[in-house]
Amino acid sequence: MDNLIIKNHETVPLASIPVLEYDKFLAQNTVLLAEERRHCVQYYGFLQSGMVQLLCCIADDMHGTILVSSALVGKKQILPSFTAHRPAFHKFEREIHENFGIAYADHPWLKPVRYPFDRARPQNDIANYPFFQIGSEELHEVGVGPIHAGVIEPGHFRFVCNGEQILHLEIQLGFQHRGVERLFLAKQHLLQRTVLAESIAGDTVAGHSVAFANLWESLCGFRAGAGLQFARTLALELERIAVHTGDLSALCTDVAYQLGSAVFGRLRTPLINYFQIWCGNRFAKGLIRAGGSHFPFNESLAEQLLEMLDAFEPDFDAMCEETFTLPTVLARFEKTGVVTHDQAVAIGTVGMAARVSGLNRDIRASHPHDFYPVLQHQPIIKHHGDVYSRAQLRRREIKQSIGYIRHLLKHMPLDSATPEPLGQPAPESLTLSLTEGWRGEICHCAVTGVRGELVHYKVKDPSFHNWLALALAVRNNEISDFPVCNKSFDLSYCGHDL
Amino acid sequence: MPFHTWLPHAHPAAPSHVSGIMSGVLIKIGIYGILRMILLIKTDYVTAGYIILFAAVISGIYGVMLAILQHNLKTLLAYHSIENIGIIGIGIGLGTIGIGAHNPMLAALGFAGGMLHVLNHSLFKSLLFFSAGNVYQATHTLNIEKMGGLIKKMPHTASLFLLAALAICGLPPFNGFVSEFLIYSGLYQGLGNQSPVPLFAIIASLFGLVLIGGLALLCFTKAFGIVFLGTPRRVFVPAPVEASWGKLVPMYATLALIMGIGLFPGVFLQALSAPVAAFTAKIPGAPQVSAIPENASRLVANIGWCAAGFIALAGLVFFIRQKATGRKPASVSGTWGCGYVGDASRMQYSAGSFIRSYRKLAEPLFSIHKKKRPVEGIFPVDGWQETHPYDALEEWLIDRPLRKLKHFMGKFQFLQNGNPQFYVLYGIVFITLVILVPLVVDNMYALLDFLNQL
Amino acid sequence: MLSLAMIFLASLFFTGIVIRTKSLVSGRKGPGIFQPLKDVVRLFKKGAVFSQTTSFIFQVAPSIYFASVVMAILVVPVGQSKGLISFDGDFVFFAYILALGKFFSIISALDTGSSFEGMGASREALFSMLAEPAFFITMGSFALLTGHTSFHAIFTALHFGSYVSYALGTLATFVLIMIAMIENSRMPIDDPKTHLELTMIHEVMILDNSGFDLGLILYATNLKFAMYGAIIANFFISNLPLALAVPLFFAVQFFFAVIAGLLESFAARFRMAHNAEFIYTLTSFSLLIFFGVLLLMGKFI
Repeated sequence: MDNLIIKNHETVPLASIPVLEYDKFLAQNTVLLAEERRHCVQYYGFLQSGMVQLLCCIADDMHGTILVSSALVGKKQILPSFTAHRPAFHKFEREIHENFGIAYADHPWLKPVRYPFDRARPQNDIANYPFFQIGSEELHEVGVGPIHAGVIEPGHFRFVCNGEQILHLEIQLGFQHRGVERLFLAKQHLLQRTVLAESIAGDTVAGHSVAFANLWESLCGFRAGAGLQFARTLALELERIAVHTGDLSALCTDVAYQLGSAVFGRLRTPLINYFQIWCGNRFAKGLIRAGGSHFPFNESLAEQLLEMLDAFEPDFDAMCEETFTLPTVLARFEKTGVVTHDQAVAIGTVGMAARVSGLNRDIRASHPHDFYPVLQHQPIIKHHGDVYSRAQLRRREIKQSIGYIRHLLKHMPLDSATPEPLGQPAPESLTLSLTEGWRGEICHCAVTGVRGELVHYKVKDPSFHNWLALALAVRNNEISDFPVCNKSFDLSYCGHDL
Repeated sequence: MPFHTWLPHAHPAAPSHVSGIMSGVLIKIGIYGILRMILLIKTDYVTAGYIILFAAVISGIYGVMLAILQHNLKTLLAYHSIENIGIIGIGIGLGTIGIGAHNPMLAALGFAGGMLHVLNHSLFKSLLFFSAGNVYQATHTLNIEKMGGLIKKMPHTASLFLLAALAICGLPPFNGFVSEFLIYSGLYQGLGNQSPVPLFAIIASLFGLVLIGGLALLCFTKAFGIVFLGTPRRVFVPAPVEASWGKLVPMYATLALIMGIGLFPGVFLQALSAPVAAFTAKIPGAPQVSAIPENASRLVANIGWCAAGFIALAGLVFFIRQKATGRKPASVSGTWGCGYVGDASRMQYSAGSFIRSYRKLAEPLFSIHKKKRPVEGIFPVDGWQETHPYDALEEWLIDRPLRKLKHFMGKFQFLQNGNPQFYVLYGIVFITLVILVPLVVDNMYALLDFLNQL
Repeated sequence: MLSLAMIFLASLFFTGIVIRTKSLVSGRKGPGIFQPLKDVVRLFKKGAVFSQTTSFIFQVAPSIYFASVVMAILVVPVGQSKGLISFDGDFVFFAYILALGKFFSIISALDTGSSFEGMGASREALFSMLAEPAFFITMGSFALLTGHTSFHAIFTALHFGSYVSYALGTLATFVLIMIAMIENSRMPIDDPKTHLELTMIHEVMILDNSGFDLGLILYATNLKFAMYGAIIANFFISNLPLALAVPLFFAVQFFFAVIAGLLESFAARFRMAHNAEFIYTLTSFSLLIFFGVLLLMGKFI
């Protein structure tokens, strides 16, 4: 094996990454994925003196390492695809195809990802997306979106249906492409970049900003103190509890269970209000900063947090008990939207979507950062892969996170966390940052140039992997169960579209 | 039922005007036969009535259940003929029971309902077949799945089809409702003084009739909705055009009769007085003067008034709506498609999809032949789905015995080897056998006699 | 005439009470009782948008639907006072005139050529078809019990004497409440509150209706609710003097609305595929009523 082995948040010189022949590069990385506990966290290309340097990062969950290798290929070249061997690569290759015009001869689904206007094939637009069709006259298609009935983000879902039964679903995204990755390069100021990271996905502010902060500190050679790490871990876990509770509410709404919807909805409010108390923003914007924090955690905040959790837990337990024993709710949740273990492995799902299909993928356990090594995180694994598992997983993870928070508060480090000036980013380096957000692993990747300036910044939200899981989950389900399946994954549109 | 299997094959093959006559007159000959027989024979009328009722309910439900599954417009209508014969049969069955039970009211309602439905069915079914004919001439297909949006091209045909469809569903204010109402009244009349077992028969027929009504509604919303409404599913060359007035005038005349019966049912009921009297006369001590009891006529007159009242009410609501919206802005834009800008012609319900939930419920009863290639793999390349509804009774009672017979006969194929010498041989063997067998048999008898004498 | 006026009055606040109940149960204050009515009035004042796919069917269907509901209400009596229309077998007319309205609402949904509305139409056609026998058998059983076949005659002749007949009354109330929930596309068959096209039945059928037409349809729903409420009320008030019957009528309407609200608060919607089975159960409930009637009349062997 010819690759560079790095740890999470490690900055390495670009030159140390082995550059392979494309054939060898392909063979090596597809073989690596034969093992279930290795998965692709990032595969992308950037321009390097007129050529495209393809960079493939495979996370090894057994050893807590990341295996990095690369290849140099020409633009608009025709290459054999990774996807033909491992479908998990399909979206990465579609993105590369879109950005650089590299054609893959044996890619089964080489369709546009985001429809930017400045990429390789500008004539592709949303109206002529090549949807999968079945010619049979007895079937019909249903198109939902990009404008949805609820206040949610834009995306087009195309169903091929036989009456109420969904035969096939294809999800077309890209309506929200804002050019986040280019903005990272265009915005020179650190604060601008931090705010940008916070805005990648509105529901994962802590996740993305922690990923960015850790990456930037590593790039600048800064080692965050215990207080900072403590606050970041706390923010991540609090965000997890808040969003999971909100999702449970939304799941109840989608099966028209009003009581659950109302109670879980109410329970979410004090959680996000706590962020307001802590940092002045209910979604934790402004809380995480590289190199320090403007809102250091203190005793009185800890007291309030405990108070809030003490009030939260009994109500939450009672409502869960009620919801998960109600026959009408169970009838809707159970065996709905199943993703099998094999499917999950094949398409490379991450985070919650992986853990409900019996796939142990959790960055907190495999590539721990901040306070997670102390917590000795044991991921919760479910095996049925249905909506019920995803709801139950949320319930258990909320309880687990509350436990972690209580544990952390007992051993609160009290060092100063006021911002310190950071050093210059290391020149000609690569840094990769993995963070387990509430939805799954977030991966930020930065490449610097000769003077330490950013030459490429890559963001990957877990949704990028998991949208396909949703498409597979709803096959042969009732179309009226689609909303609840969709909500059970609760994937991000903007995190995908960037 | 089960002697119906020819009908769904005959209708699509016949030209539409012939289909109209076929369903209007030809298939009624059976009904006529049953009626004549009831007049002729003297028998246990109650039992006969139950037999007719049973066969009729089964025919009715079976007919309409299969009709819903059809993709061919005329096959669909043909199965509806079976259903309507079922409704007529329920009426006649009730009437016969009425004769047997010496209940003149029941007899009158049953026979009047049945006979009026004979007339009604011949009217609206002809109209439906004529409309289907117009559609066929315009599109050169009868496959529902290929049509759509024809109401824009052929508004007259569409309206006529719609009104006839409402009539066949037995909805007020049309004629179908009048005859079905009479039969319902008969059924509730039959609930009167009976012992439990016949009550079950009545409640089963009631259930059957209600189900037929509901299923017919499902079927004709599908037929009308998919054929005439929505956006075209296929581009026809040349573009479909409205039928000529020569075709439309007779259709409107039929419609006038349908509306006439719906609004003035009393007149037609009186006309039925004489034939119904022929039946009620069989009840000893029945009033001979007027066959249709006084309150039945009053009932029917009520329906006429209600029908007229409903039309007036609907007209009034629409008038108010027009007045109220007249001055307000009404803009025209596309159907809501969630803001999607691409092609959306396939995003429309198909007939198959419209009735799939129903098909899933009914599937165990029918033999529906499916052809499908399931969508497989993470990135599917292919898929297909087709259903061919087939009559399970036809399959079991006609196709299978035929196939068995064919199979059995096939065993003797070796005889037919094309060699003339063999055929001459067969001839000789046959002649020999013809001569020998009687001789041998005679001799055997002689021998037996001889042995007996011993 | 009295019944028309009273049902009309009940329809003004019925949906409001349902919504208010749901709000209170989930710990919110909720909109005022007359908010649904205000929405209808607002819609009546608005202009409309029509799809270019639609034909004249789409224009006339809401009016016919509304007229059919009004016509059906004319048949329903209240207490001792007859409906405007009353004849033997009038409940057959009642059911069929409602079916006519439904026919038009279904084809008007198909007229838009939208897959959402086709979806709703397909569900509505199937479910209402399945619900019909339950109503007919329930009414038929009472017709058998009383020997009459018109709403008014049945209800006035109905006496709850024994325990069995109370059980019958309860069963009939249950069946009618469920039929009302199905006909009005409420929980547990349909979720009127959802914002998702894919899970709705009635709401999705009227996705392209707007302005006056939408107002008509929404108000017809209120009327329909009150109409079923009136039928249920009739089981209890039909042989009481008018002075008692009128307040009791509104009390029953009120309780019906509260029950509807509670039903929608504490359970999740059924799976679409399970709806058909559920509606079949209603038919078997109505058969239970039929057997109960037989028992009562001593016709069981």
